[in-house]
Amino acid sequence: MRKDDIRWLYQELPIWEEKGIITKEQSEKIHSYYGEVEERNWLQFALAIFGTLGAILIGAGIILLIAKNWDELSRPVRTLLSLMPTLIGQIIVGWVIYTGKESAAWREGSGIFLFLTVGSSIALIGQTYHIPGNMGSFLLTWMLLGLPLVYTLSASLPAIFYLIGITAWAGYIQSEGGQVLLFWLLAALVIPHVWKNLSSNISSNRSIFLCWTIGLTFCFSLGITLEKVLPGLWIIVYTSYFSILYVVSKVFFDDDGEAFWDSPFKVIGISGIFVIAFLLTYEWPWRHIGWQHYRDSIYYNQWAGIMDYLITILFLTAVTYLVFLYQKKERSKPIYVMAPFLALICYLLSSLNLSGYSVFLFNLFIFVAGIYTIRTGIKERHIGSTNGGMLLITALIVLRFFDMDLSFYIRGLAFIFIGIGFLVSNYLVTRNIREER
Amino acid sequence: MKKKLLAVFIVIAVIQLAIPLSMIIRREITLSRGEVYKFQVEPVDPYDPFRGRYVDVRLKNDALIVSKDFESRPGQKVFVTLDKDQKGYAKFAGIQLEKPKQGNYFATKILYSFEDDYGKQEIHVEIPFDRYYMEEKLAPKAEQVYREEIDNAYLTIRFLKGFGVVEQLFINEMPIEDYLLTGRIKFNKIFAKTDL
Repeated sequence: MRKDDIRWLYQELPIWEEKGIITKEQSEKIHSYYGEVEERNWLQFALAIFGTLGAILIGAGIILLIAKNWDELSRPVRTLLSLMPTLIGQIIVGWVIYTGKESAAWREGSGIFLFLTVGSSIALIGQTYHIPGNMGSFLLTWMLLGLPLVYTLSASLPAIFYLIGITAWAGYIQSEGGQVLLFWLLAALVIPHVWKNLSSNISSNRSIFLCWTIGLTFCFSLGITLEKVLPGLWIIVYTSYFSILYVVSKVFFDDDGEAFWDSPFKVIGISGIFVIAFLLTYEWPWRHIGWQHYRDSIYYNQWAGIMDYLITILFLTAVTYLVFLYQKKERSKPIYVMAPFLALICYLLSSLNLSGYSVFLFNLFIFVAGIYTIRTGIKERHIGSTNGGMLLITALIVLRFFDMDLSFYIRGLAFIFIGIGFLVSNYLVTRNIREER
Repeated sequence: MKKKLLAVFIVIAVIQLAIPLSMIIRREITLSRGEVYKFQVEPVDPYDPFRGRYVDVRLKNDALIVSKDFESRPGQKVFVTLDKDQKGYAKFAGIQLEKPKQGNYFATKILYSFEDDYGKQEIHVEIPFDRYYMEEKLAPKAEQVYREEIDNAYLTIRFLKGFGVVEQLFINEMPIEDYLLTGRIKFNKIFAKTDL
């Protein structure tokens, strides 16, 4: 049940007791059945936000101040000054640890402050000694020096900053033609922190914040880290990734009916699945993919390419297992998360130069998913789902109507078939409802 | 538990300081004990949000001509040895795969190479001395002066045991900062005109 509903129920229970609808015993039983609804501490949350915002602003200010090169100062003075921000940050963090401050504002704020000042110190030294602009090694050194703060302060903001930082690092290295296998090891270093927070309270503000960052940064880092030796694997990897997020939210988070902000994995997962699926209704993603287009120029590292295959296999296995869990739990049809399996089939088809089928299958996928969503909406009397399904189908129709790659003949036929499909499904749904009554 | 955590943090803090310190020390040693090389350069002026402004320096004559038998591929790690010409300017003397046992050199990687018309191979390497940081108001002026005085400009780099540190950018035998601050620009222009 939704938290809001439970809250409402708890408001009603005393009234029901008073009116003699239920006994006190029954009321207590209901109470113990649903358990306590955890109320968020908004004051603490606000303090943490303002505290960390302040720290970020001051840290950024320091970076800007020292980015201005103080030519009048002698080199020894500048050298000493360049270490000052780090030292100040360390004293603050040391004090927070020494006094055992528990408040999130202090931990997150001092953590992110020291993280930023470490970077500014390195940058200033680079400036003093005219060190060449090697963004890659700068970012990597900075992130590794900041990472321990995540654990000594058990603070999440440094973890989030670290994740964004290593993603930027990977992007830079890939753009320089390097390989970024190390990224996965670096990313794994924050897992204990994430795990600790999620397992202690999966719906706390902190956990939700972490989930949003992880879900979103990996959207980028997956694309960046794929070596793309075997072109088109992103199709399978991304559909699997978003499906994993969606199923994980269904199986572990139990955030059905929660607000947008409170269900990060579900929101990212479902929007991701359909954004990719809509892309795949075009022909261009399916062109020139598969082993016939294997790349072996110097910009593609064959060894790093092995990671692509590993990720693909790992993701497909994970999604299969999760879908299995999901079905056991929900007993509903996992239509949306069929995307990765469909992507795999279509990938093979397109590798054999049968990309026309892939395009058709993904159009069909969105159509079926749309109908399914409308049906669930009607069945559960949930207007949001019905509208969502309608939106999917309308978007599909609009996109196909303006699709210049398709001839009038094909478009005409497709529209007729979709129309017939609509009528038939409409008939089936209404018949079902009538039978239920 | 708190004491333990504090001890761990102190170790981390020491590492956080040790890494920048080691960067400083290595460069200070090179600057005080290394041998000076004068490189002729060509600057431009981009903007890097993290590090303020700098003059983008490019060393002249940065290609290495070797026999076409030398096996080169992009990204390969190499050592470039240094020498000085008759005028006292630095030049790249050679390129090799093993670390030189004597003389001054720096480590880098090959960017690209091609064969010229005389059966030789021209190799271009990544040059790890590409920035000269300046005060943000001075950097654009420095670039302007630099274009005008391109033939009278050079960059000094000190080398010690295969490690190079950029020391100073000179215009007309003057550090560029002094040159800009003493208002020599105007004086020089008048001087140049009367010379004609």
